[in-house]
Amino acid sequence: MKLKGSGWFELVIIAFSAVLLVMSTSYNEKARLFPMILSMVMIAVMGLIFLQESVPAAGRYLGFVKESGLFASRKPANGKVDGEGEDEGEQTQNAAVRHSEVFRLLRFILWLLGCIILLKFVTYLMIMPVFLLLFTKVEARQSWRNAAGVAAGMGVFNYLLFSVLLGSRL
Amino acid sequence: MLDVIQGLESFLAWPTPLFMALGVLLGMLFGFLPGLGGVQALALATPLTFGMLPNQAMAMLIGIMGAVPFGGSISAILINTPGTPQNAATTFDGYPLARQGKAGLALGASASASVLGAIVGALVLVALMPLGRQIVLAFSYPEYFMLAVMGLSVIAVVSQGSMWKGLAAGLFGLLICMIGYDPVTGAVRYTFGLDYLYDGIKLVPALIGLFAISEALELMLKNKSFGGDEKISSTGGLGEGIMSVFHNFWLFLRCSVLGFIVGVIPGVGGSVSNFVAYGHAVQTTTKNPHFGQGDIRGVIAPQSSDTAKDGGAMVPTIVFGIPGSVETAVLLGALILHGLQPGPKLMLEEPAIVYVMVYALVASNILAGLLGLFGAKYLARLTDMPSALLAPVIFSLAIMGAYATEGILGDVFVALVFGVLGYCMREFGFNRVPMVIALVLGAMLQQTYHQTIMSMGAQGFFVRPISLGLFAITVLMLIIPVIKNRRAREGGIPA
Repeated sequence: MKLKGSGWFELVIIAFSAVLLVMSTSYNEKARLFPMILSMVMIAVMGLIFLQESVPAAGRYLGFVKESGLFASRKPANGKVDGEGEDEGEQTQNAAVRHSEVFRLLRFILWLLGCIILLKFVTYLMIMPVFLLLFTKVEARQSWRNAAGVAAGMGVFNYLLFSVLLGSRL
Repeated sequence: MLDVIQGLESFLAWPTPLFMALGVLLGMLFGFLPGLGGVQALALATPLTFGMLPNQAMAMLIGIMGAVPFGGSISAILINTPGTPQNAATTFDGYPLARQGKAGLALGASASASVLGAIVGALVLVALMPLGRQIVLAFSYPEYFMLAVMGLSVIAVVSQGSMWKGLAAGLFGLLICMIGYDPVTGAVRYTFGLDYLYDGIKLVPALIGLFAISEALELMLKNKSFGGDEKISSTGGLGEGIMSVFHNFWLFLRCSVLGFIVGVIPGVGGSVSNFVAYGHAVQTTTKNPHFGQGDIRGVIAPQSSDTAKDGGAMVPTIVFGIPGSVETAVLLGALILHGLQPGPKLMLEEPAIVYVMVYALVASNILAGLLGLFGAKYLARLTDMPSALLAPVIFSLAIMGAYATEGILGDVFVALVFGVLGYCMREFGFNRVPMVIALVLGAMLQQTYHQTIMSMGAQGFFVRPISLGLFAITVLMLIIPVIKNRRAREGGIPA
C-alpha cells in the first residue's frame, strides 16, 4: 500500500487528534467532556476517510464516505471549489502533491518562517521590503525592476497604513 | 416625530455629512484589507473625534461601521479573502462568480444587498426600539446554545464534495476551539506549554491563514493566472447585480430580518449572521440552486444579513448600553467619551443623537455602495496582476494584517500554520468553510452548554419557548430539503 498525499495528511490529523484525546484524559470532568468526545469522533471520521481512500479492500465497503454534501449541486462551469477534487479522481490529488510541488511548498514556508523570525529582531519597515524584493525575484522569477516595484510599493503602503495611520509600534 | 426631524437636521448640519464620508472611506479601506476591520478602524478614529460635536462624531464612527461590510465583500469576491470575518460566507459564491468573469455581477449584488439590508435594519431598529428590552432579555444560555447549533447545522449544507470530509473539517475546527482556557472551569487545555495559546486560537489570524496565505501558496505553486482562463476583472453586469436583489426580494428580506435578529443578541455579531443567512438561503432555495459554484443568491443572503445586523446590534447598545457586537462596544466607549450615557436614558435625553446614528447607518451604506460600484472597475483590475506578483503582495498583506492586529508574532505563526493547513485541506478535498463555522461557534457552543446544564439542567434546552423554537427550526432546516430532494428524485424531477 503506497500512501498518497491525502493519506499522509489524514494520518497526521488522526495522530494529532489521538494526542489531543490522550491529553484530554488529564483534565477535569467538565473540561474534558467536549475535547474527548470531539477527538474520538474526529479519529473515527478521519479513520473512515483514510480507509476509504487509501485501503482499496476497505474502500469497497465504505462507499458512503464519498457521498456529497446534503445540498451539493452540479459542478461549476470552471474554477475549483473547496471540497471538490477527490471525486474527480485521484489523479487530481496525485498531481497536486507532486514531489516538486512539495519541495516548492516547503521552500515557501521557509521563506515565510524566516521573514516572521526576522520580524522579531528587525523592524517590519526593513524586513518586509527586503522579503518582497528577494521573494519576488527568486521564487516568483520576476525581473529586478518588477521585484523592486512590488517591494517599494508595499513598503510605502505598509508604512503609511501601519505606522502613520494606525500608529502601530511594531 | 419631532425627534425624527431634529435628528435629520442634526445629521445634515454641515460638516456632519463630510465626517460621515470620511468615516465611509476609512471603513471601506479597513474592510477591504484582510486582517483589518471595523474594530481597528473605529479604535483608530475614536481619538480623532475628540474635537467634534457628538452628532459629528457619531456620524463618522457609524460611517465606518456601515462601510466595513461592503468593503470586506470586495476582497471576498475578488481575491477569495474575506476582508473581515463577517464576509466569510460571501466568498462561497462571490469568488466563484468572479472566476466565471462575473465580478461585476457579484459586486453589484453585494452593494445593492448591503444598502437595502442596512435600510431594512434601520427601519426595523426604529420600529422595535420600544420593544428592544423584551427581545434582549428573552435570550439566555439555552437560546445562545441553540443558535450555535443552528449555525453549525449549516455545515451539512455548505459541504461541497464529500460530506464526511466537511464533517471532519467542522470537527477539527471545534477541536481547535478547545485550545486555551476552558470558559467554564478555567482549566488550561492543549497549550503545549506555550503562553500564547492560553487565550486560544484567535479567529483573525486563522482566517488570514486559511484564506489569504493558502490562496497565495496556491497561486505560487500552480503558477496560474489569478482568474484562471477567464477575465476575472470584468465588471460588466453591475446593473444586473443590483437588480438581482429585487429579483430575489423575498430572500433578501428574510435574510435581512435574520441578520437583524442575530445582531440584537449581544456578543453574537456578524460572524454568525452571515453563515445563518447563507445556510437559510441554501436550504430554502429550490429554483435551480448552484450554491458554492457562483449563485448570486449566495452573495445577496450574507451581505443583506451583514448590514442589517448593524441595525440589530444598535438595539442593545442604545436601549441597554450593552454592546451588540465588538464594533458597538467601541462605539459605546466613544459615546461615553462624548458625555453621552448609553442606555434607556439616551433615548429620553438625547433622542436626536439616536436618530443621527440611524441616518448615518443608512447613508454610509448608500455612499459605500456607490463608491464601491464606481470603483469596482479599478478594484477588479487588481486581479489582472500576474499571480507571481500578486502572491507576494498577498503574503505581505497577510503577514502585516496578522501582525498589526495586536503586534504579537505568535499571531503571524498561527496565520502561517493555518495557511499551510488551508492549502492541504484545499488540495485533498476538505472544505475549509465548515472549519471556519466551527471556529466561530465552537466557544459559544461549549460555554453555553455548560452554563445551561449548571443553571437549568438538560431540560433547560427544551422547556424555554425560544430555545425550543430554535431547535425545531434547526431540525426543520435540515429535514425539509432532504424530504424535498427525495420526493424530487422519486418523482423524477431534478431537485
